[in-house]
Amino acid sequence: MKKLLTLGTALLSTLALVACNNGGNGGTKITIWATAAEEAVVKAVVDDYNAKQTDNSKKFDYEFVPVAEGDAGTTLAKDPTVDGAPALFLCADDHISNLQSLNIVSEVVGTRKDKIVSELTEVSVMGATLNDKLYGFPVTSDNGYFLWYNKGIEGIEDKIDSLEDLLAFAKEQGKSVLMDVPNGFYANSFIMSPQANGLDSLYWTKDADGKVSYTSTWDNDTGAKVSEYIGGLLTPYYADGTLQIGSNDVITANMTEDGSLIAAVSGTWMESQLLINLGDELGAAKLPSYHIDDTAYQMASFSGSKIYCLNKTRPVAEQKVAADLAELLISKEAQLKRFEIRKSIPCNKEALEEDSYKNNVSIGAAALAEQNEFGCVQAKTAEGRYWDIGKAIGQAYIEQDSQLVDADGNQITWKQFLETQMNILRLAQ
Amino acid sequence: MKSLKTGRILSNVAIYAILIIMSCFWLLPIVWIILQSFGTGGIGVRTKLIPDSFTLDNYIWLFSNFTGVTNPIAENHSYEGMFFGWFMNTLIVAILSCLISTLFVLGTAYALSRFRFKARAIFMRVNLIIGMFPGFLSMIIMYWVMKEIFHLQGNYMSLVIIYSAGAGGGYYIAKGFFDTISKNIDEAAMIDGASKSQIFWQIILPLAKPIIVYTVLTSFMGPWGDYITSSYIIGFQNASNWTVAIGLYKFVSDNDTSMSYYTQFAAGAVIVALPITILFFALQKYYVSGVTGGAVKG
Repeated sequence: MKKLLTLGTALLSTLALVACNNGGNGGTKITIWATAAEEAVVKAVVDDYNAKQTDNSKKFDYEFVPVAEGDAGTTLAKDPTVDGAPALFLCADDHISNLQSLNIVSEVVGTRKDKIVSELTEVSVMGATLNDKLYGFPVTSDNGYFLWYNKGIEGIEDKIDSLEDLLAFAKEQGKSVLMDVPNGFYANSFIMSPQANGLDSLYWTKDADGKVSYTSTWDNDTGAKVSEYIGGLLTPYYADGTLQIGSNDVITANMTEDGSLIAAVSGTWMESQLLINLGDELGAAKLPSYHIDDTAYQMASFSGSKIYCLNKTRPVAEQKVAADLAELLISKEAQLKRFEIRKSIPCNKEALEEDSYKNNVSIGAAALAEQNEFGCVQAKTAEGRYWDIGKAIGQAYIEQDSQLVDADGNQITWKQFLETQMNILRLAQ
Repeated sequence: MKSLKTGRILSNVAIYAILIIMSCFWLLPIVWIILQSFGTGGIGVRTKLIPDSFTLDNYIWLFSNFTGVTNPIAENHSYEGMFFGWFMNTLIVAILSCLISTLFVLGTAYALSRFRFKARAIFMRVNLIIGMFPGFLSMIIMYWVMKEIFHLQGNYMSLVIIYSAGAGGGYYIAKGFFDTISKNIDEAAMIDGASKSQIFWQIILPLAKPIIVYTVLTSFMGPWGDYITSSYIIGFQNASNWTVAIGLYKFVSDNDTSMSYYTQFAAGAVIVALPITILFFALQKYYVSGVTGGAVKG
């Protein structure tokens, strides 16, 4: 009986391998999880591809399940074999590290990797890379922030290049500017300026045991000097209401409905909303610079990518089909199609040069592309432990006097404050 | 005398002022949700209490699978026409759980009120201790039980099992009510040859209408509004199996949709509140006497 079982298993395995090796997609149907808006893109790209195939076994067969990008990563981290688990799923780059440490995403290797590295933008590839290994197929780098402003305010366009000018202008008008400074996502913007500590002044790595360690220069003299300046600049503006903090809801309410906000630091996700309310008066630009001793410091930003990943727990045959499909979905043509359908900014270098993109790019996307030059990969800079530290530093920028105190309530300097924060970041296990 | 009167007026003013302020906190969210549900635009979070103009579009859109009305603003139509399905899922779960739970609760309460058996006291104590742990502590193990043993993960029917399986533990108020029904009635029925079962179904239950209504209401409301368990067991990937709680949460939580579904969320919230409100109004009389009746003798 045992022999029979062994024989049967061997036979089945051989059959499975044969099925894998026939070169086509062999009738393997895969499940894709991606945000609902992506469905139209997948359909258009796959339909187009399938129409060109004469051999039915080369056609892709898939089931699309709409799952928000944030939910895909967390749901699979919870249980990658969940009922209806996908072979291919779209998630944000900040999920990659967790999914990789849980052994849920497959590594992309060989010619597939070479092709991605050569064809896609560096910032998007970096987002999918951990310890020099590539864990997915980058789709877009659209998660960054820049400056939205209300062109209807006379004279504002002369002020958006300088943070000091913009804030002074807003105060003069009795209006306000929004940047959610006490939020790690935005708080890095000052120290990471290329003229200050730089885009690589904070990053983390993970060793084989999954232990995260941070490298940072934020607490050096430059970091302290910049922070002291920013704290001194922002604290009074926050106190008198010229600098607002808050999220999308506040921007929606105050920029479009009562008009008290003349500019806000946010991302492309606000575009359709702001356009409906502000129309032609909506402006977008890269972030302003701040100035210390006549030197301009360009504010930096985070950059995030969306990535197609392979679920390692699915059968190899499914993963192979998923990888083929993912390659198709990040090709130049697919990225242009995605731009056409979803206004999603391509990360394929050739697609970015195409006229069909350049001539139709929205103002938000154009500003983001401009800002991306000063963007650092969020997934490399920050993981779980960073956010509380970023929040604390951001809080100190807007409430310098009450935040720069030690455990006993004594005033401390910015350098001491940053050292404490960075030590927490570096030493935590 | 005069100062006494002034004092009373002053204290009344203070009390009413406090009550009015508290009622604002209590009523404003409800008024706001109802007003927003008729609001136009459907984009983003609303900051005005009273919308600029009123419309029924949000309600019509929720049932777009019947009305054919699509959202002109949202680019993302992923939730279009799904609300009715979620509503029906929730209704099925709530009704089934309610029926099973009510039977369990009344059965347990009857047994503990009328029978004296060896482990009765221990059972009641253990049940009291178990009842102190919040139900959601069992979520993770329930997820695996539903997935690996029943293969029901992702299916809303699994919620019926979860909600009703432990319902018997909440027997306290019903038992208190049964304790107030004189045992002489049981004895008289027994002399006439009635079995324990007959006494329960034909004698005690007709006398216990208020507590039945109370049990039905509470066991309906739990599943109706539950989010934590349902989202964990069903998961975000099975949109057609969602309950209204998950669906409405997703209306306002998805990054790419939260801008577009706000007034629709408000309309959905109003519709969700309707059945339970109607049920309450219809059964209010019994509900109050159920609670107070059960509380006479704990």
